[in-house]
Amino acid sequence: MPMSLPSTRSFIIATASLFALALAGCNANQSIDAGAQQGVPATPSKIAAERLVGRWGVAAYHQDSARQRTEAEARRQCSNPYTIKAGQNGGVVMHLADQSEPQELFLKGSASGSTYLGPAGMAAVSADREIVAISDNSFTIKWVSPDNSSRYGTMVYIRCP
Amino acid sequence: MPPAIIHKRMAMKIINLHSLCLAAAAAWLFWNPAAKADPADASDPQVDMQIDDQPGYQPSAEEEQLAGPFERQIVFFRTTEAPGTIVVHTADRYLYLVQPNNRAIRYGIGVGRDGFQWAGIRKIIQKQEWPDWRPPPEMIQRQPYLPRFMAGGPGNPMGARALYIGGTVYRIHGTNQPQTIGHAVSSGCFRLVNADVTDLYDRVPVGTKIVVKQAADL
Amino acid sequence: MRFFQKGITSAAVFGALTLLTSFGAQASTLDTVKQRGSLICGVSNGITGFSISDEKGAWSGFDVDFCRAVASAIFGDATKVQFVPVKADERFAALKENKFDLLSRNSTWSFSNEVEQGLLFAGVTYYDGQGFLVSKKRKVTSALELDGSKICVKNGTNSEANVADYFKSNRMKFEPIRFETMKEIIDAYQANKCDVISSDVSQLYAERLGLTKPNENAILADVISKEPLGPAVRQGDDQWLNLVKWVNYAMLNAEELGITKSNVAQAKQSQKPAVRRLIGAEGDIGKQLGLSPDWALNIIKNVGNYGETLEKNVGGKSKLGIARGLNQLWTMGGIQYAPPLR
Repeated sequence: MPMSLPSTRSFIIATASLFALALAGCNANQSIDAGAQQGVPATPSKIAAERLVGRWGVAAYHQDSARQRTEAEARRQCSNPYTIKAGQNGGVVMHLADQSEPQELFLKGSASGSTYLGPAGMAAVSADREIVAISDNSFTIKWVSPDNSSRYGTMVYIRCP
Repeated sequence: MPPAIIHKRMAMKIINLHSLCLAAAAAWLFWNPAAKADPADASDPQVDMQIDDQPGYQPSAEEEQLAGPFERQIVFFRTTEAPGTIVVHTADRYLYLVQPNNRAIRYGIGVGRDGFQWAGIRKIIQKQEWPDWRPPPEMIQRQPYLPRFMAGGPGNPMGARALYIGGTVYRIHGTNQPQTIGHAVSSGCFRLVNADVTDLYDRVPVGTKIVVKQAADL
Repeated sequence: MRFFQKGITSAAVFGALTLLTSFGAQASTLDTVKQRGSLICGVSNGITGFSISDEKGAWSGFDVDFCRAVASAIFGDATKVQFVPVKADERFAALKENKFDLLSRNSTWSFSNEVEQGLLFAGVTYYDGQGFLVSKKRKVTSALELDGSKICVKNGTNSEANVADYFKSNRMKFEPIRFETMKEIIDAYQANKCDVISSDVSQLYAERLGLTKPNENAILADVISKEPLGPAVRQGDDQWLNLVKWVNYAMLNAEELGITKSNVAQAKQSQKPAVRRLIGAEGDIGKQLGLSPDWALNIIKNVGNYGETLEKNVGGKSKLGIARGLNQLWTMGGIQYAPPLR
């Protein structure tokens, strides 16, 4: 059944997008929270969800000068790794910011070529992370919401052996 | 002693003690902009300023410039402690660096709940510029997605410098919330504005004696 | 010889009796105050942080709060006090003429103010002294770095003489610039006609508030003269002197023991004998002062301990922001040292 996965995912994303658009329509005359990002229509992701599955050492930084140090620290954190599992609908099971329970998140492409990770629906919304770099053994995310970004910083995930 | 070992030792103590500077400072990752006050603080008579940490917040130069009594200044100060000693009066919210001739450089401080829990004589055992921060293990357990390491830098609630007090988990550190100086707050130990903690950092070597005095209690 | 001696003794006894009778005829100050139902306090009007009344006639300040503390000790009520503003040059005469029961008007305890005036000071509530105000731009941290400065001083006061003594003993030179009023001094300083102002430290803090940019000016930690300020009473009423004296000491001891306005209600549960004695939970030291057992508790409850009162009016919690300096407790780097309440 591997072929059915993308179609299911597309369906979920499309449905959610319509729902989001309907909501946006209702609220057209209301001011939008300055911190909230409306997002852009999601396109299929160029990054496969499977690439995020595994056990990761996690560290974060705010200033680029601290990036190297942070990567080294992330590597050392495998004694207490963050585990990402594959979801039932083609996504990955992870936490959103400030949520104590994990949920299935989806990789979402965009017209600009950026890839986002977050709930089904529009891409680049407040709850999303942007995957800014990925290799076989590591990936780096930035939070879309400036508030999340300032608190959690740029997070580096290094694959644990 | 390499920082990693110190950290491990500190982490052990965090498990043993109920509420500590590092754990409290760690709360900043939980900072939820919607929930301004920690209900636990409301019943804490020691805390006179209900404020959550604001990680990522970078105060302006004007905000960081303290005015009035909490501005760094040289004051008259009689003590039998030798020049170069740090004396902290938590009740008055001042930290004194003893100078010759009955003088001291006085810094305004904010005192975290943990700063009130301890008085004694110790030494500064380590100094750190832009201290990194590691959430304690039990916090990771509750919030598994937290980064296990956060590199220091502007916007970090631990501020620009940290002076570690030996034999304790307490430290003198900076802050990105200058408005908390002069107050009792829920998190941290002894916090100074970044310019002040940097000034102090440059004046005191590792091995400096520190005397923390509490007000008498009933 | 023996007869003669006896004669002297009899005469002494007779004399003492006469004195006692004459004093007995004149009611004690405490009795007068109690009968009247309120304390009358001589204060200044217009010294920011010490005693000042607003447009509605409401009084505030450190000296004012001391009067309220005495009223609290006697009546358990801080409002049972009338304030009588009195000028500096009339204050001692007014006290002697019974215009008020107590003078609480930042008066310096000096030989002339006590012995020559025939009064008694009940203690030092505030250690003031002459200091220096200087621009922070000069990056001066000690008065010893003021060699060659132009110093603004008020004419006809001790200020210039104090500065001259200090500079001479430290082999430094200065140029005095004299003015009649503080306002002229401030104007001259802001126009760079002098680079230092010298006056009592408490006054320098008050005047600094009036500068265009207060925060760009510092008051140095150096103090070059002794100005111990305190409440004064008439001679001949030891009970009243003791009462006023111990109101001050009770406030100081309360701070030292950690008894504050906010926790005084819980102080009865304290296990510390010194705390229990002070608030009247144990023993009855109030009785010997002619007061109720909760006299000191009422002071703390209504007014606060020494440090609280000082910080609120002139210290870190006031706009003056005067550093505690000498007025810190002896245990905390100052010289405020009260005899124990036992």
